[in-house]
Amino acid sequence: MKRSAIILLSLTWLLALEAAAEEVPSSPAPQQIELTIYPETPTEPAFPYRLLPEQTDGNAVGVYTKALMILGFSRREISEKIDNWLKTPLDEFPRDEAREILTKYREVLEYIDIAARRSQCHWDPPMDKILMMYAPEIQGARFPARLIALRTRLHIAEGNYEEALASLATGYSMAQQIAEQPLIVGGLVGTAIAEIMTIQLETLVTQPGAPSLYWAITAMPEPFIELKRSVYAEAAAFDQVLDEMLPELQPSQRDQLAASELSGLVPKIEPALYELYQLFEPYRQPKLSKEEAFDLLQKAAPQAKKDLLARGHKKDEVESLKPGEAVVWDLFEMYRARRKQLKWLHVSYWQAREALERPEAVAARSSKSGELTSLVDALFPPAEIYCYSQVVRQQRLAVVRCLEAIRLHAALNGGRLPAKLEAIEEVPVPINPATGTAFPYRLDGDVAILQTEGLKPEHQRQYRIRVAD
Amino acid sequence: MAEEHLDKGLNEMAKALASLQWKTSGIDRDRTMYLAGQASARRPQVGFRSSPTRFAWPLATAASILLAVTMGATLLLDDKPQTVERIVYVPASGSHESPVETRPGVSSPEEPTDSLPRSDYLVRRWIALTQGVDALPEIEDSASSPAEGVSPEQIYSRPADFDFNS
Repeated sequence: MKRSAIILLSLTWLLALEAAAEEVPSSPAPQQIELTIYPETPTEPAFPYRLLPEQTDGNAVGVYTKALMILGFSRREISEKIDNWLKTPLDEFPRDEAREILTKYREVLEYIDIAARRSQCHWDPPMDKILMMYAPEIQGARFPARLIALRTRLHIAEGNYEEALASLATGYSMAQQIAEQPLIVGGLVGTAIAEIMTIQLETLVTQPGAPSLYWAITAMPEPFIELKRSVYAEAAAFDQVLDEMLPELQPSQRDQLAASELSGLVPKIEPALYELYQLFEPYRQPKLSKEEAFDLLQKAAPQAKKDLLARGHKKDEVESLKPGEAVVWDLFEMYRARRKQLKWLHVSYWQAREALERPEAVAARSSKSGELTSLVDALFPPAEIYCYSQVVRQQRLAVVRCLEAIRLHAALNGGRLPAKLEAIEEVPVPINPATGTAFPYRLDGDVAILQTEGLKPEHQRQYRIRVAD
Repeated sequence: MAEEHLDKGLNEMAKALASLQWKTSGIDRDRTMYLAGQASARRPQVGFRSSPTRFAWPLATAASILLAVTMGATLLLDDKPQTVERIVYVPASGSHESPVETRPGVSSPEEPTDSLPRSDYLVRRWIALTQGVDALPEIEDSASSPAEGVSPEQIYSRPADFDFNS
């Protein structure tokens, strides 16, 4: 009996401890990265190495198309294998297997190398159909990017740093060229490709005998990929869709819609909303009927009225609105607020974040109604998502540049790590693009600890840096 | 012949069994029962106030019950949305001729004649923005629909508001 009670109590407490432990991941510890650096000063002239290739005249699009056509399809398994190898420590890296895969795709890589060294990349998509487009060339670019990263890692493992740098240059250039598409997904895929390359760059700069790449990284464009251009291109395309759907809607009404104008517009806007639902929901089965779509909007009316009140509209004005009118007004306000907030793409992330996190800014662009928010999000994503997507990758590159500054300082100071980042006087130390301040750094014995901050917990990293003996 | 041989064997076995003697277990049942009764009636040797262990079990039990009630209440009162009640979506299959359900009281879904062309670009864009480009499905073969590999959960499961910190 006593033994049973002990077992029961132990189990209860174990469950309690497990439940408590499950609460912890809401703020997971930063990812720990152990690095050993080999002090190295930059060679003169300042730019013996470049992370973007020299380019010759010509359009890259045709060459990329050839590469993608040769590449074909059905490569999920190989992609997974490569992803694992890219995370494998260099001393365990399966060189022979990697070489085998690279040989198989040799022709594809040759074409990508050529394309990346072309000075232009005019994708020239049909802008009037931009929201209805399927862009396989963007999605298809992820696999060759993996191949380039694999080739880079193989070169690093073999100590062929010149080849590794040439391969990285192909990858970085490809990232920029894919982002040349005036499509947000193009910008996002380009940004992701650049990050894959930066992870390999991080490995390269920690290898014995690796050249100093401080100035090569410093010479990279900042931000490396501009999402602004594709965001504005898509916003213009969306305006065009609105114009086609609602020819009655004047441009001035799009910017400032008065309550008195709602009753006349709602009967015209409701069918347009239905069209927009269809545009975003190609997978909905069974298809949403018009009655169901209108029903969803009607149900959203109480929340729409709350949103309008929260934004400071007069109570009597809001309460007098018919359900459809309240929803349409709410939608237009969210759309307008999101349009206005795009201006924050032109400033640094930390400045944009401060502005976009203000309660009035959040209230202006949001609705608590899931259906409405989903629709507006899908058609017109909020600016903060773009800002964040960009800064995550910017920060990673800034960290590698910071590592290079530390390595350079150590080379000029008898292999000693700086006591603080301000002690590095030889070159400018990059700031954390997520916070606009220096990266937190401290010395713990013979280990330097560099911390990233200002991002979501899953993107936080802590670097523990040692100087090789 | 075989039966005689069998009978002979059985007889030997019967004799052997008959020669076995009952062996006592060494346990006195009456004494055991007496000692058990005595032990159950025995009081603790130490007094009430000086016994730190007297309330150990009741306290541990009470603590466990309290813990269980707290955990249960946490589950019940948790205001985080656990599930979202929505219309059920199924991924588009290769065939677009799947039968369409009609709900009571709602007219048959009609295909709008004046609708815009269907696109999955907006869906892919939303997945890439909220879950990263790695969440986008691989292109498996040239004949597959662009929709293939995208689950409805990928499209619709998202926080209502993007949070920089979450």
